[in-house]
Amino acid sequence: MIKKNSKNVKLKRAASTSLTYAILIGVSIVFLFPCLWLILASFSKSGSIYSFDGFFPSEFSFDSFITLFTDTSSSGYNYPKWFLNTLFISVMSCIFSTLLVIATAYTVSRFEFKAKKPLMKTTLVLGMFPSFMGMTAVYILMTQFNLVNSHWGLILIYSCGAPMGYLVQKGFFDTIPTSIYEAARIDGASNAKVFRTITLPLSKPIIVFTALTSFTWPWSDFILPKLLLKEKDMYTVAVGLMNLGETEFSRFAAGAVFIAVPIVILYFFLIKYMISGMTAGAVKE
Amino acid sequence: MAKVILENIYKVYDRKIKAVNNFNLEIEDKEFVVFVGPSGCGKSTTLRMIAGLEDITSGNIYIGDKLVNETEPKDRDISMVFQNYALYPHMTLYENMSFGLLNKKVPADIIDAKIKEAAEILGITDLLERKPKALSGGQRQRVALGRAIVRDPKVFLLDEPLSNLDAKLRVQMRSEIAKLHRKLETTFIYVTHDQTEAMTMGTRIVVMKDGFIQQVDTPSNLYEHPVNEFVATFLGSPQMNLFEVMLIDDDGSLYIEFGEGGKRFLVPDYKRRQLVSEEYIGQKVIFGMRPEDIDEDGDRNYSINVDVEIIEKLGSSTLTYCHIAGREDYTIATFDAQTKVRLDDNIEMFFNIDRMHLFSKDDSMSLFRVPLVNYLNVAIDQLPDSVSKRSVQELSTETLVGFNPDKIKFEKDDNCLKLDYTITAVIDHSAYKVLYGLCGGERLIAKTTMDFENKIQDVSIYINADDISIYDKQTLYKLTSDKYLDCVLHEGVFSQVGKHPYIIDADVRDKKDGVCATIQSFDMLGDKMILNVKLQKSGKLLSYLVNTDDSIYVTMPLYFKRIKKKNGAVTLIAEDNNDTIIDGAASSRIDDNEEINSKVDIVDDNTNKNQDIVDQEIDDIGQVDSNL
Repeated sequence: MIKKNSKNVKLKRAASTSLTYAILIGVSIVFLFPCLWLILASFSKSGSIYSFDGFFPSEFSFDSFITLFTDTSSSGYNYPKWFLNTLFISVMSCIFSTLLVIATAYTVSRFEFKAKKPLMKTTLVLGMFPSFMGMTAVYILMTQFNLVNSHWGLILIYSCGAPMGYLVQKGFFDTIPTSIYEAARIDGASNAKVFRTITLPLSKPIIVFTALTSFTWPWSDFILPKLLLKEKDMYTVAVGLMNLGETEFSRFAAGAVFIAVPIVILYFFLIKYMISGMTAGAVKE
Repeated sequence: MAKVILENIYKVYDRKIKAVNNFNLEIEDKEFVVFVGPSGCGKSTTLRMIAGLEDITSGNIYIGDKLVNETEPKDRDISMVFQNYALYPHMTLYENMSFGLLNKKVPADIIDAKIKEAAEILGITDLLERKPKALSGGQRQRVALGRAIVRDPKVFLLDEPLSNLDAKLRVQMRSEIAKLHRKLETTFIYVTHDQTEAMTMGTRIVVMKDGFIQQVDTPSNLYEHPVNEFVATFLGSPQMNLFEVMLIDDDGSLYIEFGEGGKRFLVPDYKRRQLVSEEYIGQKVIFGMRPEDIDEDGDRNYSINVDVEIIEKLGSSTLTYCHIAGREDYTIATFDAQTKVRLDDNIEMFFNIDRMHLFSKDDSMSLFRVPLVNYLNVAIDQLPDSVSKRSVQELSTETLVGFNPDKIKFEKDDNCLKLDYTITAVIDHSAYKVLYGLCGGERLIAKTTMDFENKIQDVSIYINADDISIYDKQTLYKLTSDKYLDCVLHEGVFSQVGKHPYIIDADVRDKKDGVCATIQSFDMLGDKMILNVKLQKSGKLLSYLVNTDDSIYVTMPLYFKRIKKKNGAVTLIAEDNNDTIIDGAASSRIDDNEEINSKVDIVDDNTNKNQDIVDQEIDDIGQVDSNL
């Protein structure tokens, strides 16, 4: 009797495991297939999408990647310039965003001031609205500041909008015990000194997390650059690639793949910090 | 060298939650004072106010003769050890300990010397390069202590430092902290909720409950002479047994009776003489006896026959549980470990009557306590002149003269009241002696550090005029103003939770609410002023100490924003709005003997109603709702 039962149990376990794996594999395929297809398409010899044999290209070569960087003349297609634009905007936004978000989150976490609660709630609610809702308003504002078609306009928008998402960082700062600040206060440290010598060193994970997320957002953003950038030389990669025609599909694919590479590398190196940063605010140590 | 003086300290949150009430304490240099009490009694809050981490709502704190109310923590010359150590996690121990000194710009070699010295004392020299996470709890606590030591403070503040340690480590660290105190010879102020820690470590203990100080005394005095039920049951494990008994005077002898017609114990004469008042005779009182004072053997006159219901063998002793009339809960007795008593035995329990305690049934105060004030019938014309000059109103009603037991002197001095005193008992409290006796046929209790033999003797006592106050016979309200506040000090009030004279009446005020009051007088004391006010509805007399500018701020938590003094008229203006609550045309100083002129109108900014109508409104509104 016992033997039969154990067989039953084993079968059941095997069945449920198989089901789990089946679901996971199915989801992975749906998720990964487009990426795989894009990567393969970027290695296609011919440019057009119609020369594919079924789903996948028939011939493979590095041509698309080479023309991506060398052919900068035709119809204002300047991939290297776009790449540098994107890099510039992302790096500057990353720096300013991080500064602003960390400062906001620290202040909200540590200090008490009038209207703190209303301020927090308003910021949170406003941050939930999708960014393109304010598109028209943003455009008009930028024209008045003369920042249309300027990278700094974009950087300004990205940086100043970033503190809306201060909640995760605030959660992290909440985990630093107040008694450490009190001990520092008794030890004679001013607020600035406390921030420099105690808070910042303890906040490495969350700073990296903030920097990483504020880097990737402008990197792949489409709407705002499309709205504000007019000259082909000022485009970011996202906007520029959209202008390619159908015949240049493999070049498009190559461009798309290439733009993803730096991010993938960054994530690989900083994944540890990412996770500790994301979960740091979750559970009180 | 640092004395710490806390004067009339109040801490009120959100104008409603009174965390600390009227905290008065003088801590001598090199003392080890422990604040002890249940959770939420205000001990940590008081410590943090001394440290400067919390604002003081009202009152003064002096550290080493310097007023530190507004001083930053770093300038107060204090060090604090926190419950969770509060070490900087990303710094090595060396950096942790040097952080404070670096901020003070102390030269590096001196820092190094100090750290090495402190590490030597605490035994952590080889751990200096480690980070806190690489240390055990006990080691971390030592580092926290080390960080406090290197600052060379005047006062060490410790906030439950041993709570996060396991039991064995706690015992070890307890003795280490005590050793540290002896070595460093600095004032230590220690907060804990553990009565064992308090009893073993402190030179003096402050027992607190619900924001009020219950008793301040040495550990043994607190244990043997608790001032109320709370202190009696808080210290000592297992808790003191409390019985509801009747105090009966039968044929001149005093007895306590367990239940109706039950077992009687004779109260020894010398104990009877220690009673704070005879008015409790013939009433129900609470009789207390600690478990360790109930034995298997003793005086047959003080034994009760009981059935043993539960036995707990602790190894070093045996706890015996039974039921006795007058107590619903189990009565616990601590017997020797070798006792032959077994479960369900019927035995005699012998009470050690010398160690008895008696408490009043209504206010839980000990009947053997040293009272805060001695009340005597003394004719007013016998008193020195300056006493009646301090009086807040006409002394036409029947009055009593009152003074503190510690203010009784035995040597002649100027401007004193002389009385004849017959001492009937002298009880030794190690740090001081308590004398019981009669003065003019009335009971008088004195507290003195002088030596007296325990025998009946006649002496002359002298009380300085400044220490004498006059009280109304019916209500026991104080009728003379003191140098500072507390004019309505009613004895026994400290034991009642949440009831304090002036805070009851002065909570949050609404625009419509107001207080009808007459300003009786005001005293000028240099740059301060005492405002004596009588509330019309309740008749309570209150005194406010204010600073005298043209706009004066009240220093007590009464939430009057400003007092304007102009041409002899005084106006109290409420906080949060500019409505005038009391507009008084008070005048005169007591010593000028001018007519006390008190005309008060309630002035409402918007309507300018007259007093009668506003009176009516107040009656309609009823009591000031403190939850507003």
